[in-house]
Amino acid sequence: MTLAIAGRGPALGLVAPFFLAAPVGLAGAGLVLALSNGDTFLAINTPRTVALTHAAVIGWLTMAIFGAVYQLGPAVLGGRLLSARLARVHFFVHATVVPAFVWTVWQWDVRLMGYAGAGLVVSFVLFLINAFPAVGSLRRGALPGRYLAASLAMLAVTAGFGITWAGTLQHLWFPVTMGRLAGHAHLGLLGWLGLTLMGVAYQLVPMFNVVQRKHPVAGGRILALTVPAVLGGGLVLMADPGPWVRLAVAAAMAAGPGAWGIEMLRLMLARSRRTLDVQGRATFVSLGFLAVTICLGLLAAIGEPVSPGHEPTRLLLAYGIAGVSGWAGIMLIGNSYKILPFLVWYHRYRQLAGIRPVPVVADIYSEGVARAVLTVHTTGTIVAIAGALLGNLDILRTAGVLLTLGAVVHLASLAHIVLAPHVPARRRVDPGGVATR
Amino acid sequence: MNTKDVERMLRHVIDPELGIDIVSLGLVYGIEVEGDDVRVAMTTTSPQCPMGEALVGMVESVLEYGQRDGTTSVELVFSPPWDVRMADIAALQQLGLIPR
Repeated sequence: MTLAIAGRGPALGLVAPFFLAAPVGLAGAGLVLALSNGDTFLAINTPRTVALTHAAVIGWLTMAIFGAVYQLGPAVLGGRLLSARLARVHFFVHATVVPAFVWTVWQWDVRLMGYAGAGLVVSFVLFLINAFPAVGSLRRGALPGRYLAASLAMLAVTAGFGITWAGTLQHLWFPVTMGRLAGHAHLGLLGWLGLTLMGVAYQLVPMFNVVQRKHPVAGGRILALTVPAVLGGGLVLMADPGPWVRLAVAAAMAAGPGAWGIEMLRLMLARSRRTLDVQGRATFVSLGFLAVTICLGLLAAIGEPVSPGHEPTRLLLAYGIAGVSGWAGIMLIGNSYKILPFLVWYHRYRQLAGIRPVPVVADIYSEGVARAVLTVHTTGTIVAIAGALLGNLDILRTAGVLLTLGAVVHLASLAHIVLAPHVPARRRVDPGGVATR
Repeated sequence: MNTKDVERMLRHVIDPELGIDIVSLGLVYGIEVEGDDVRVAMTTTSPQCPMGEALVGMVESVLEYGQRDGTTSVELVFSPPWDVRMADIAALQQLGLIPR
């Protein structure tokens, strides 16, 4: 039995909305990218780029991670939710506040941005109230729980800096420099998103791919390396250091994820389930984007001398797209096609399993559609990176359209998983054999 | 009812993720039949797998659905730990470990 998600988790109706709303955030980010204008390559802190970043990070990835934590914490890590009702309220708060925040950023209305930012902080607080108990009672030494606990702390730190930056934009307490933005961004992207994905992968990758001959050996050391690197590096970046300090920070920040990537690759290559499904494929693709992200990040730290056209913004944009849409996004898309179908199976078919033919997880989603989503999204991400590096607005806009298209199909696919009735594939049970299609 | 009958019934318990029955996967470690009473010792592919409880429920459902009068006892054990080499040839084929 390889499933990681089980019945101690909350109801399907609590978790599913987060997963269904997440692709809407991706579609929003894709649309913002499709509407890129000439300012996009001038600076990384233009309203559209900041709106794009927040639509992708808090509208798409964070939304899905909220759902995953609400499920995996109680089901896998042995924690509990403080209140299912609070989680439902949290969904509505987050789903309402994110579009408002992205819109205020797009419009660069600093006054409303402050209010929407405060709403975001409320959303994060509501989440943290539930999430800490969800991962807090984890077995001592369980890697995924330790990663999640660290990532939740990073979310609090990131949100704290974020609302401070929003406040200072309105009240002009001090300038929001590129370094301060970079610090906030790395605390969020690597501290919150990165650590969450890394921790969850330690649980899901071996389980879904039946990895037994190899075991994670460096997870604890990678966490010990990554947390101070992200926290310290984020704070150093806020001081707007020179290129060599930035490079040292980048190398320190990249070390943990790089080692994690090698560990995941080692596990995947040792898997007993050789036939790759969409989650396995997504894991490999995501690891490829991690390598690209690290390379681009190191180059971006050096800055202008190694930037295409001597325009650092292009390199920074490509780096962000590779990390958010490539590494984190593709890992999340792949796991969506495990977490959600299993939840549906558990809540609808578990009681009937063994008594009458019921669908297995693979019958609940379409592998073909899931692979199409993965292909379109991967293509869109590669095109976006290329468009950013080339400084070509048309290519970047095309990528936005592709990512939006992928998000729409992804949403339809996830909605079908949750809403449609499912039919078991025809199987036969051979004495001495296996149930086969 | 004998152990072969029970084994045949347990082949209807399909791992919902892998789509392979638990007998072929080698998850069933032992079957004891005394009259109408059945005892099954089984495992999961990973000790951390929180689906053990659900799998036990599925096995109980299958055996109780078999219209017996006796009792059913299903024990989840983790020693020895499951290894893919415990799976039969057809299961290994389905996992892609050996060619079909």
